Amino acid sequence: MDTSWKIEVEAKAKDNEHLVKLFGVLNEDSTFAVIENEQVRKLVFDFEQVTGINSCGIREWTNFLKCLDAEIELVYINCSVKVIEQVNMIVDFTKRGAKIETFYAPYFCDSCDKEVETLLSSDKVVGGNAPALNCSSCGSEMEFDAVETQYFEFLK
Amino acid sequence: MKLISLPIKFKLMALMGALVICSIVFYLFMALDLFRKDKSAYIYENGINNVVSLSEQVRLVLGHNFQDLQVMLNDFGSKSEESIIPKIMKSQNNIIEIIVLNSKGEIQLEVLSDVVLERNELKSDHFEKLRLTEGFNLALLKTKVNTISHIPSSVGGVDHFLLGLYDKPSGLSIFGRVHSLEIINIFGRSKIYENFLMGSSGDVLAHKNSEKKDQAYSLVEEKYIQKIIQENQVLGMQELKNQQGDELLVAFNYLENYEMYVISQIFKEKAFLSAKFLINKSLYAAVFILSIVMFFVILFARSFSKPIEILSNATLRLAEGDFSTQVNLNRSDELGVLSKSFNFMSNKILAYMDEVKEKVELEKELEVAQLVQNSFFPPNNISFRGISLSTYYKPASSCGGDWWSYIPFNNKLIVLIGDATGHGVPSALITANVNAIRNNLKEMANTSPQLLSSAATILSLMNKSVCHAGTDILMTFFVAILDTDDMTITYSNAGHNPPIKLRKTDSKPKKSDLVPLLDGNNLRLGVKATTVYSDVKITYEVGDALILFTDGITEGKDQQDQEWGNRRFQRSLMKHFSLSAQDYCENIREDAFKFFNGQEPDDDISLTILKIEHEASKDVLMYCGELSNLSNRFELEYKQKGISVVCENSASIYDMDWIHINSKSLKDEFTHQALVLQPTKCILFSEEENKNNMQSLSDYPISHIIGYNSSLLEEEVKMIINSKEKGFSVLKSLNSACLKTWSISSSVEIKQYEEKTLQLLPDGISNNVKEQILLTLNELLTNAVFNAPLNENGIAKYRSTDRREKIDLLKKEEISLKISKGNNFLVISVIDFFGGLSRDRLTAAIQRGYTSGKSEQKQGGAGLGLFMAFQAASQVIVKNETGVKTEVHILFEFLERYKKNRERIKSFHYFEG
Repeated sequence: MDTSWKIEVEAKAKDNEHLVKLFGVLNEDSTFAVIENEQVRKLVFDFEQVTGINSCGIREWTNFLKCLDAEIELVYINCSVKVIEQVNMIVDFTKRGAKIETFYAPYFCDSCDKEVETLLSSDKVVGGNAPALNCSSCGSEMEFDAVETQYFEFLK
Repeated sequence: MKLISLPIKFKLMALMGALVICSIVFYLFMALDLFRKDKSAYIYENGINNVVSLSEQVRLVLGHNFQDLQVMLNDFGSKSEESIIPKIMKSQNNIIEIIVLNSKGEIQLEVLSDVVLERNELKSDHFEKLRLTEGFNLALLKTKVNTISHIPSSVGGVDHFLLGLYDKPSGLSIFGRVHSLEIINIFGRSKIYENFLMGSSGDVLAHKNSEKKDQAYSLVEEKYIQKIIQENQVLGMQELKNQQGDELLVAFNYLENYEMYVISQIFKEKAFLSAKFLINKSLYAAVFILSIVMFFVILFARSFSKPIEILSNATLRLAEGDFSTQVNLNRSDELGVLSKSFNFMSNKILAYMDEVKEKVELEKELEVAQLVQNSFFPPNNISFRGISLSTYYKPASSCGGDWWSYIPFNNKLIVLIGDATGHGVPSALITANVNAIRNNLKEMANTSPQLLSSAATILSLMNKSVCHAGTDILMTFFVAILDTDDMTITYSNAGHNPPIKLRKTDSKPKKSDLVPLLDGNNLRLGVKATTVYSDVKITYEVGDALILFTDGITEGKDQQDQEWGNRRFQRSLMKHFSLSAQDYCENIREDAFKFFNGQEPDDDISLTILKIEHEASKDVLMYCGELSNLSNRFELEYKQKGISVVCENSASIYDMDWIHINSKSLKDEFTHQALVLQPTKCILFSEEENKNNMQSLSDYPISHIIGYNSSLLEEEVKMIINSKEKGFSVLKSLNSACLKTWSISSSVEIKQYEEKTLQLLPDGISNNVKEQILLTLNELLTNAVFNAPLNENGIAKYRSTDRREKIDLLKKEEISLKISKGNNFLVISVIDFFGGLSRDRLTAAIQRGYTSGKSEQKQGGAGLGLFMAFQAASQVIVKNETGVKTEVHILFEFLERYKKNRERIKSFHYFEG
């Protein structure tokens, strides 16, 4: 498991927004210098490749968010389960107003006896209830494998 | 408050105005009345005089005329050759005609005045024609001798009187026509009065008014004339009304000889015109005077009412609470005095209010002090391992100088009693001091139990505290440590009156059974900080009693100023010995107060009774209460361990070794008592959320929470029970097997041990759990490396170091990492050799994560790391030996599903020592 930290920034031509892909473990070694002084309208953070987060990494992340201009719109996408856990636990993990567009949610297929992490869109979660999904392997309906009130805390 | 309906100044103005008006009216009334009377008298007199004067003048004129006629008659009768009649006619230019008649009425002589005829443009035969119409009444003349009648000008051409004179001897008569002008002129002189000559029939014979002269008019229709004529008065003056209603003042005089009235009349209004003038002038003067008076009244009223208004407004402000109101009236009259009195009153009220405020504040403070002091004292009655304790306390004032307490600790009951000199707030402050020491001792005993093994040590600590309090207050003090295992009392005394041990006896106790504890006595607390106290050890038996007291009870007095005294006290002790501790205490109290007979004690009273009911049970008692179903699971195990399970709370909380409590019944009385009195013995079985459980850890100093859905419930309970045994090991209690032990000497090694640990993880663990384990490992190691090592000052050495920096630990700073595995669980154990992770620090760090989701430090993730570890784990177990070693064990139950993992209510265990 590659845990080395890196950031890739893709600037979108239109709309003055940047896509920021994060890689590796978010820890005390994580830096954000490359995007600290971004003057854009919107920053989209892709957490797909974030493999771990520790408390020091959370500290680095929250400090980085404080450096950003308050006017910049922040969007998180492809948040893994561990990221969502941090989002729910740590108040500062999402700066005020930051939107989580897409995230992975744990499901369990009884028939296949396996856990599946499925990418969901925030707007698909209505009333704090996980959307019903079917197993891609056997087609049977999967059970949402987390406590909904806990897992969707960030949507409140 | 009623509004002012009529201001005082208006009342004053009205009063003064009324006075002035009344005065003026009265004056006018009086003056006018007098004036009127005076004027009336004057007018009346004047009127009378006027008519009299006029009458005289008429008589004179007519008299002359009659004389002239007499002369002429005599002349005619004398038949003289040269008649004087023409001369007389010429000289008397008012005689118009004379006619002499013989007795047969034949004209003997007729003489006319040509002058008169000419003057009045009358023909010479005018009077001849008149004679034909008017004629002469000779018969009447002969009767009356002289007659007079009036011939108006409308009849006679000229207004004249016809006078007649009869000479009886000659039988001759003479008639003369006399012009009435002379008489008219008499009546026309007055400009004030209306004068006229009136015949007895009411004809106006002469009047100044020429119009009236020319026309014959009569006043006979006038009622007032009729009245005068009818009354036949000769002279008089009357107020009469004419036909037009005018009031007239009429003076009249009857000329009897001529049967004529001389009338002089004046309109009453005209007569009293001056009076009216006077009234008007008086009214003008009155208005003027009134205006002047009102002006001065206004000035006066203002000078009078303004201060009253000021005082009135000030009083209103005072009533509304503005007590700083002052009135400054610089006057030297009663109003000035009143304003000074007002100011004095408001100042007094202010001063009084300040006093009352101060008093209220003082009383509040006393109340608070009393409340605070009351909070010092534990429950009056307890039962501890076979010992019953009962206490009575009564302060002499709101706060007392007496203090008592006890500390149940393991198998020992430490009893304390003290008496500060005096009573009231200063003494109470000293008791606050010793109370703080007591609380600290109780707390510190958890880690340093030796502190509560020596009464002398306790006294020494108390003494230092009192000495350093900075007051002159001294305190007697007694400490006794009752060891329920070896049934000994270790005591020490700092000048307190010796407690009494009453030996058990089968019969009624005798005086010899009373054993005062006289040894081990030394200086009172507060004399000097270096006082050395000594322990004295004695034994006790079941059935013995120990009585601790302050001198307030023995020195309490009755109304005759007699003390209850030691003798009566001891008698009471012996009398009620057989009673339970509570009844014993109550009866002794009753005896004392019966003696006092209503007299309030002037010193604080404290009495503590300990009765040894039975030996302490050797069994370990586990109270399960509502969790009896739980106890059923462990009953056998408990029995094997020598633990007696009780499900009733009839036994004393202090007698329990362990107390199961349920998170749903935290507010129940027994549970609450257990949490307050014996928190370290409580095991909280919780169905609450983790956040709420952390709150419970903050609210109560409990050390064990077991999630109700723990898959290792029995192991957790066993671990807790085993913790009391010597050589207790967390991992052994959990029946876990050590997979690996490493020693971490540098911060950069953390990552490599994450890798190594990953290799050790058994198969079948879900990725989620693996990630949690590795995350936790990272957090624990980072926390231990950066926060555990202490410098010589006891401060965390690397706490502020940037986590990116490399730290090489000294040998003694090295961290031990152990990976252990049990039946379906894994334990990450991180051990440091500093022993600095106190329960409070640990719970605070985790609690912070819930309340703010933030770390306390910018540089480190210390608090956050522990919080994250707690979130990831199934159980957090910490064993801490202060200053020696800290073991942090994070246990991960292999729950198959992520959801089960999230639903697992975290268990928390903290072992000290």
